[in-house]
Amino acid sequence: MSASISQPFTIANVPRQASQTKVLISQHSLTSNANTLDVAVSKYSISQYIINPTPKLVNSKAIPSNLTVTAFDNGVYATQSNNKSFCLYLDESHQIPLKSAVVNCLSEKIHDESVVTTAILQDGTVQKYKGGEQVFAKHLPLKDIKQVEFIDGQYALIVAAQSTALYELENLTELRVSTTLHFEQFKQIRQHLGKIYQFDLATNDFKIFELTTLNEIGVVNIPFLSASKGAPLTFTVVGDSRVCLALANEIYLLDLHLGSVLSHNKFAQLKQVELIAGARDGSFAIALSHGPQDNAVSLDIINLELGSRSIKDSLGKGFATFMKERRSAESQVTLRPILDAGDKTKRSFDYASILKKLTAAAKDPAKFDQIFFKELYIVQECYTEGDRFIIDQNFLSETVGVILKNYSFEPSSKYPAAFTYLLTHPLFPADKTRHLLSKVKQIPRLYKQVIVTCPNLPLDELLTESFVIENNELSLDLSLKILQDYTKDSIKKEMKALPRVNVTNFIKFVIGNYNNSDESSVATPQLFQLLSLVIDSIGLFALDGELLTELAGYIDNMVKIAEMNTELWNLLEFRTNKASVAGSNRSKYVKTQKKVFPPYLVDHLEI
Amino acid sequence: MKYSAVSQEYKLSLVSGGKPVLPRAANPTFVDRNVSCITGDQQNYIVPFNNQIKVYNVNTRQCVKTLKFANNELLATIFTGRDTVVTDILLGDISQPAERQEDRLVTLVTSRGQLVVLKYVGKQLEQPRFFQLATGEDTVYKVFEREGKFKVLSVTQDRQKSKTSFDYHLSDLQFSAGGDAAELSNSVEFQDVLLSSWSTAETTLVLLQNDKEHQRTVRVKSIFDDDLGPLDLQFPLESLFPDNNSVQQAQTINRFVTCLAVDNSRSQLALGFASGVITLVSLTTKPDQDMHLRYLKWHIDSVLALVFNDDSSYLISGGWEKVLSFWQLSTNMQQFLPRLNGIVLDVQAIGKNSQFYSVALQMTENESNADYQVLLLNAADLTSKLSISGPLPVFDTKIADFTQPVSTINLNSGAAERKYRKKLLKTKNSDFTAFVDINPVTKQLYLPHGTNLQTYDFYKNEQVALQYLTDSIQNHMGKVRNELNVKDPQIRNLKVVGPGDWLVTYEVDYPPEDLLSSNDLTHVLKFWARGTQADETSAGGGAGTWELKTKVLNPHGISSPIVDISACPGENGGVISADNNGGLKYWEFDERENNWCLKKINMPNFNHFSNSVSTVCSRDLSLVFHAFDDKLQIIDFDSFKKIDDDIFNNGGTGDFTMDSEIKIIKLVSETVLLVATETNLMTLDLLSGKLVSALDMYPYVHGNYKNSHLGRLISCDSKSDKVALVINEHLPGKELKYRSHIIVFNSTLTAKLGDFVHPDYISWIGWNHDTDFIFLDISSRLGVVGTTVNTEIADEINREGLLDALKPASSSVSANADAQTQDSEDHDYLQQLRAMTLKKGENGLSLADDDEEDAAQEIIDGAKTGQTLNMNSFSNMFENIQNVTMGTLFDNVMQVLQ
Repeated sequence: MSASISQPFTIANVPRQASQTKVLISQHSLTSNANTLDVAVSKYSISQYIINPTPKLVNSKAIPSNLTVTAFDNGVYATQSNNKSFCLYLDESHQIPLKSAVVNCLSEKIHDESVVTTAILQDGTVQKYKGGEQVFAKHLPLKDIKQVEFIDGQYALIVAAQSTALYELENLTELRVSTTLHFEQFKQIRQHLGKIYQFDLATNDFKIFELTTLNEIGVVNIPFLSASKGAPLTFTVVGDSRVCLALANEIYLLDLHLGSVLSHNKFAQLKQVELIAGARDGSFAIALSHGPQDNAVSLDIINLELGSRSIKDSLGKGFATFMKERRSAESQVTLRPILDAGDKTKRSFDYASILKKLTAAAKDPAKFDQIFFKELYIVQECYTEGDRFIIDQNFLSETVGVILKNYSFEPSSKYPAAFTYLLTHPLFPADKTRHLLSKVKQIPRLYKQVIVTCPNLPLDELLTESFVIENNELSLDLSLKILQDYTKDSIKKEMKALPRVNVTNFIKFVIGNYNNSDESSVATPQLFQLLSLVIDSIGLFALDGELLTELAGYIDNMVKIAEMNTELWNLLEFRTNKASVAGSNRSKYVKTQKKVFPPYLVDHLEI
Repeated sequence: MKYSAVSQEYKLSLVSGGKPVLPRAANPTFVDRNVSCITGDQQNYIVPFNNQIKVYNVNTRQCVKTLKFANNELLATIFTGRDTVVTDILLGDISQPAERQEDRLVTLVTSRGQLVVLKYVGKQLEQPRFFQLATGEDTVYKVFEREGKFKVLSVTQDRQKSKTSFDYHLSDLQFSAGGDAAELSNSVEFQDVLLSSWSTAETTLVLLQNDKEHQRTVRVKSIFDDDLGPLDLQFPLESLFPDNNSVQQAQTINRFVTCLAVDNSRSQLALGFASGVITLVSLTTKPDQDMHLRYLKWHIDSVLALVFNDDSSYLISGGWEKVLSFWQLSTNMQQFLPRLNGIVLDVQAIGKNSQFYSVALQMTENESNADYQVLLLNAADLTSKLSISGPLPVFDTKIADFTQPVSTINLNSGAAERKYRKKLLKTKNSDFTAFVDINPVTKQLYLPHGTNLQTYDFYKNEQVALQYLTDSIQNHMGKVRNELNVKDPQIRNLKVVGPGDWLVTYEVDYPPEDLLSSNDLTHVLKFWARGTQADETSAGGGAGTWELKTKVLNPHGISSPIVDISACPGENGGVISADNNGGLKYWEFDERENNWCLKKINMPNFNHFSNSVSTVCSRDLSLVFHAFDDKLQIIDFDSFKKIDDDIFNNGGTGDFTMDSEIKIIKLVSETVLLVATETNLMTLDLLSGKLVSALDMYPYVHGNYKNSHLGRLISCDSKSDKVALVINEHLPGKELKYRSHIIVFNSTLTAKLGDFVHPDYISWIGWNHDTDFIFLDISSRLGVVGTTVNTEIADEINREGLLDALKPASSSVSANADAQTQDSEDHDYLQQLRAMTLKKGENGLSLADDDEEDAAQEIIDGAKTGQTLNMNSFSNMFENIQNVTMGTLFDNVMQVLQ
């Protein structure tokens, strides 16, 4: 399955509030097999939902409108009131007033079914409660804690104003501390599978840190974001090096390792999507959706498909392809010499300025040609190895674009000779080949040129042309081109899509060609090969009886010829073989033996 | 993702490889081609290579010393060109008759008439003694010695004359009183020599000459005046042929002498003929009597090697049969030593009482290069003591500088050589690439060699195994006459799969000649499992051998060749084989079937045929890139079907069309594909489907390399995403000279990380699955371009320096240092040691006083036995630990412990 992002579906509406709503999701809801979703919405409620089969509210507890929820896990939550009083709600009967706000809490059932809650306070105090009783308290040497991330229920990553530290939760021993990383540089972080991901809004960089060492292990720039600076941006990590990123109402699924956008979705009905959490296994993300009307906010689940984690999913989806302005000077490809010294043929072109000149002279074929051939040092009228330095695909594409735009290719109209040259260039841009055949059909010279030398012609057009054309020579060229450029499978596939009438016409053309055989129109092997592909693709039974009979007769005749040829060959080879020298050594290094040729030559076979 | 990269600097060094040379094989008139010699104590065997002198210990069968030409300034200047070779080796310093020190020194004689005295034991401390003989244009081939007298045999290179006869000169060599200069005198000329040989004791010279009437004459001449008395015997070759047999006379082949031998007592002369007959002539008959002749008939083709043993009781002969034949002359009994690896070019009885036979073989199945193997056999039981060969690459075209030995049946030898050299000179482009693959774990090199496979250890600089991978007559014994028409199967391609556990070979079997079906080749794909542990102890098995697991006949259908094989990444990765019509097959080892099975198939799909096919798997095994002619397709690995969608949003069908046929594709990093065409070397970004950069290959590649052979000169480091590229150039001029560049690029080819020039043609470059690239040139030398390179890899000279570095710190050295140190004071001793350590840092060439030097060296040598090990003893070994196999490491450790 390839990667995809589905449309969001709403679980609950979040009431409009004056300030930004703080919504917290309990960690256990994000594990892979959880079907419940615990949500704490400040000043509103603590609710539990069942997600499958349909989202349903299971229970809910209202929260007074003066209380902001600062931490929430598994039914345990901490609040902060407007008048700066703090409280931790362990359960219905245990509410513990505190001196400082709880930055994050972790609540889990241990083996004897009792619930242990660990709360980390803003002032650096860590408290543990068991069954409503405080069993442990320790003050950490950290001040002004801003963010706490619990890792697998065993470790805590604590980001303070001046430092960042990793603690082991059992005894709260410090494992690692870094003063170079503090909240200023380390805000907006997410951790996943031993890596910390941080997004730098200023530079559009994802920074990746190793959790155990707090060392930076990589920086990934997201270039296409620079165009939309200032739009609200949120992200969540959904897999190793896989990040779901929301920018206004667009969501991107990024592969940071390869540097590609695996999937992209734009929700036109929404104003903004704010990602708040992602499932550990990457199967869904939870978001707050802002509707087009102000403050209409809903809690949504967005289902994700991460794909196969392989390069297959990323093919053609690099960050660069999402850039709005793709063509910049740096993207120019020039053919550089391998060795620095002694290369006289080295050439580089200023494509931008040449293109400018060409565009200016677009209306005048003679002037266009003069610029084209002079600036690019082209000597001959067709592509030669000397022209291998013209390699930039963008430039070729633009130049062809200019020509196609300015000339109509009517029977009598003039066109620049540069176009004929470009048609012989092996790197003729693939995106300009569509409708090229029909466009130049009025000028037989160009039409033939396109068929013979232009690469990347669309197969369906080639087939259509070859089925309707009456000219023997062009028909041969077309069939040659098709067989050369495309594989049997793709030809068959494309033929199935073609109108039946054309196909029967083609068969008739091939047979007719044979029947009124004058010297010039002997059915070529290419046509015969194409015929076999035609029959393979449409099936014999799709043809009517009359045509089938004709076809059978035609093929019988061909088989007879083939048999005759084989006999003749055998005869020839038998003769030549006898004459060859015995004891020859077929070494590829030394060729001493002379082949003995028969004294006669067979030139033409009358059939 | 960009991870912070440590900046690395690439270095090049030529550290390994090289092939044993038979210097006198270059001149067809010499029968004694091999110049290897054994030391006086019968312990060490000295073999010249084209880039070094190697000393092997006969008992341990190990190389105990290498004298690399490149490591010594003087030797480097002497052996610059390929023309200068070691043509003789004499024990001891021959200029110092009083103290020759045969147990430590050796005198090399070069073809240009240079004499160099080197140490073959211990470290080369001082500048080697050097003499230049005034031989003019002559090439020196041999220095004879008897009781302190020396005679030099030199040959005039007359360019006007045909290449079959030469003028010999035998001159006295005398050293001045101080031993500082050498001069030649009393030159005797032998004109028009067709063939020459000398007795084992080097007292008698036997020549086959053209006399003035163009009659061939045999001449036996004593070299020195000795106990046997002077001798100069001449008789026409005609006298050896019975007059009455006119039929035989008509056939020149029966009268074409291919080799000669004379015994030590000057009583017997043996002549080997191209027809295979050996004629034994008794020299003791009086002139007026008929010559006593004996005919020894066994050989079916030219006799190439002949020698009498010490007491003339045996005649040993060899030739194209790959069999060594022992003729007991008193009884007419014949004994054989069959199944040698190559044809016998030279046999010599060497050592005290002819204790050993030194045999030189040539593996003629490789027609592109002279692959010599030097064997040392124990004369008593004919067991092999040493078997010495270099890497055995098979080049795509024949290289210029060697000649094939004479054969009556195989007519393609001999005369064509000169023409070929001229042809090579004229053509600018020649494809001398060779096929090599590297084992990712053991780092051993695999070189397919005709019907067999050579496993070569780059770091040990030794051949590990030579294994036959195909069935052929040649494997079992030499061919007899009619069988020469049967062409042996050929290994065309091989790949090591997975972490070195499997080997896939592709071979072509040829049907017999002159049949209607002669062109119906059989294509065979074979899957080999690495030899198991149990086999290593059994005979014939070993670490480097492979066992056949699965054999597939005509895997892509009858007469459909496999043009590319690529190994898929991963532990259980399979193999993708590609044919010349676009068909792909994926093979994988099936545990249940316990066999390799065809797992996926993509039918031949194109409407034409091409040999320009290249495939590569993406690192996560999700995609297969398939280049066919000028098209590049992307195939989904799971469905094994081409991806047809417009994945790159360019209106196409997801495949690329290049400007010319694609020579090779390689994956540089996860997202960058390297595409080499006839004109460009490009990198393609798979994420955008756009070219990232392009390099102009046209001037260097156009028309040079056959289809996929360019891939042998491009290698990708998949760990650090680097690319190494070799550019070979044919330098214009009258000499046949090549030069090559090795360029290391980053993954997108935008930055050059290194650019090196190598003064020879490079045939192959490959990544060693670590940090380095290993390359092979047409002189069979191996080099390395890498970041962890230091020239000490497998380098004995410097290893000894490594040992020396241990000494000064340990106090127990002085305690253990015994009698030898007694005459020097304790503090002197320490100072000397310090001075030595310092010197070694400066390559140890600057100490003035020889006596002091020797004393110090003695101290070192003496102290060796009692030295203690400290924590630094092994530290140097770990510098390259990732490249070193267990065996090599063990050797290194043993060396320190010694």
